[in-house]
Amino acid sequence: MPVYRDAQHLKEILAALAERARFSEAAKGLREAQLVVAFVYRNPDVTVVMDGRTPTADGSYMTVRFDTLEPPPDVTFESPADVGHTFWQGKLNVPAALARGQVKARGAIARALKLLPLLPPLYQMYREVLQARGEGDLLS
Amino acid sequence: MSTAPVPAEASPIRVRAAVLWDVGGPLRVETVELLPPGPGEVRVRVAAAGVCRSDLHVVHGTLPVPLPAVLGHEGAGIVEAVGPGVTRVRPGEAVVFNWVPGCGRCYFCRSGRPDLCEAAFDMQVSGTLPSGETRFRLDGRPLHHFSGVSCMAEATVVPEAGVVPIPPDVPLERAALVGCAVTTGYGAVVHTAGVRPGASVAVLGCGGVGLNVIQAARLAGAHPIIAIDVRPDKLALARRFGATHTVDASRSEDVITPVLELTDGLGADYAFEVVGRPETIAAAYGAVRKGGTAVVVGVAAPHEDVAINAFSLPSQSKVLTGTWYGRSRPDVDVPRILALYRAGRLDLDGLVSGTVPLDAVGEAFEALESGRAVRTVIRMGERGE
Repeated sequence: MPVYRDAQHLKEILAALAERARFSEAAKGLREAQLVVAFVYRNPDVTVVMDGRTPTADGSYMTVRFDTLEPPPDVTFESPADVGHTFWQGKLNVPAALARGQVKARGAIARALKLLPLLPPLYQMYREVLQARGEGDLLS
Repeated sequence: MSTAPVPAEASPIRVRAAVLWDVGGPLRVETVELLPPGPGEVRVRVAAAGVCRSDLHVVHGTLPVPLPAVLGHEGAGIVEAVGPGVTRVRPGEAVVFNWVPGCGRCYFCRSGRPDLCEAAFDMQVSGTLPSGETRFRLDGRPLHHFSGVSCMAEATVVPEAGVVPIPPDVPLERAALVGCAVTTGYGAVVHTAGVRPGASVAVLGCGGVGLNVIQAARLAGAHPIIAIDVRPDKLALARRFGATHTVDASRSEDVITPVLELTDGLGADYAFEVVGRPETIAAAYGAVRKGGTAVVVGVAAPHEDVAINAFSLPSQSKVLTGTWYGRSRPDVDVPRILALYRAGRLDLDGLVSGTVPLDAVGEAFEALESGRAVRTVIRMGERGE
């Protein structure tokens, strides 16, 4: 079976991750780059926009929205949701995955790839989210 | 004893045949007229025909060929009559059909690639024999040939080069499968890829041809052999044919990651796509390592395109190629494959998921479409209830 039971399951996990990550260095990098990054997942079908451009009321560095492509993303990564799961665990070699066709990217890819070094703390947060939900068995 | 071929009688004969009148079907078993073989042609009494996905593609219209046509391109039988000038076979000889009968004269035949023969391809797309004529008639109306074989009939007329003589003691219901599925899968491994001992192999699609890719990879000494399919029963069969690992593609759309995990993160040395869909072709390309080779065996519809990461072409130096009939030389490969079968090294028996009479041809196609069947063999001499 796919890692995520359904779209709601995936959204809950990413929402929890975003909540933990909105003051993170990665989010700060997104804000400083003024980037809007979209992840378009299939199976289950979920679109998530991580917006580092639009100012927030509480001073956090990003806003996360589901099932919309607003504001228009600077870069879009499209993949099976299972590949997204591999990515959020920090186990995906993104340039290699692009070359293999596991991930399709459009837009300001070079700007987005510059943020990769900031992501490892997010990978750890993702693992913590799953463990906190009692879903540590999904981790590989 | 004279060695002169026996000439064919001059009058047509009546045979039952599976005729596709229009895209979408149904296939109808009709009693049709079969004209005598012309110069360079032979008439074969068909013993058995396999139901292949390419026949199903014709029914769906995804493999466009002229209709109405008598289907079938994988089979075996006994030569019954020969036309003028035929020297390679004689009546009474057992043969397997070859659906890419090289002309021996075109650029590709002369340069050692009879699988790409121009005349054979023209014959396939025109629905005729190499002479440009057809030999089947129904109420005076010509019926097209399929791939120059049309062996879903009690008898058929084919070009002389469209038959390969085989030893008389091989069961024709097994030999029939060598006409396409086995030779294509075997050739893809042996001729197109040239798999070496110890090479890692991924096979996407474990139907009739895919299982033969797997067993040919086993014969070549490949390891691991990773079978990928959406059906657990096909994966179980793949294990029997030599797969060392299986990936259930119904569980995840991402079939590349499991291949990476089984190949030290590198990707497979070779991947074989045996489905004929753009997504699986792209996945096969993605599943091979840098410098590896992806071989497309499956036949996609002519209008479909595949998206490949452009940067990977120079930076990863992979080979993406295809294979038509396994790049085989049937005159050499068919006897070789049958020798492996007789020696117990290559399994033909396990490929047959059912045997039906010609009247049940529609059910055989349904079984293939549903994924239940690997290979259903139509036994021609048998009448349905």
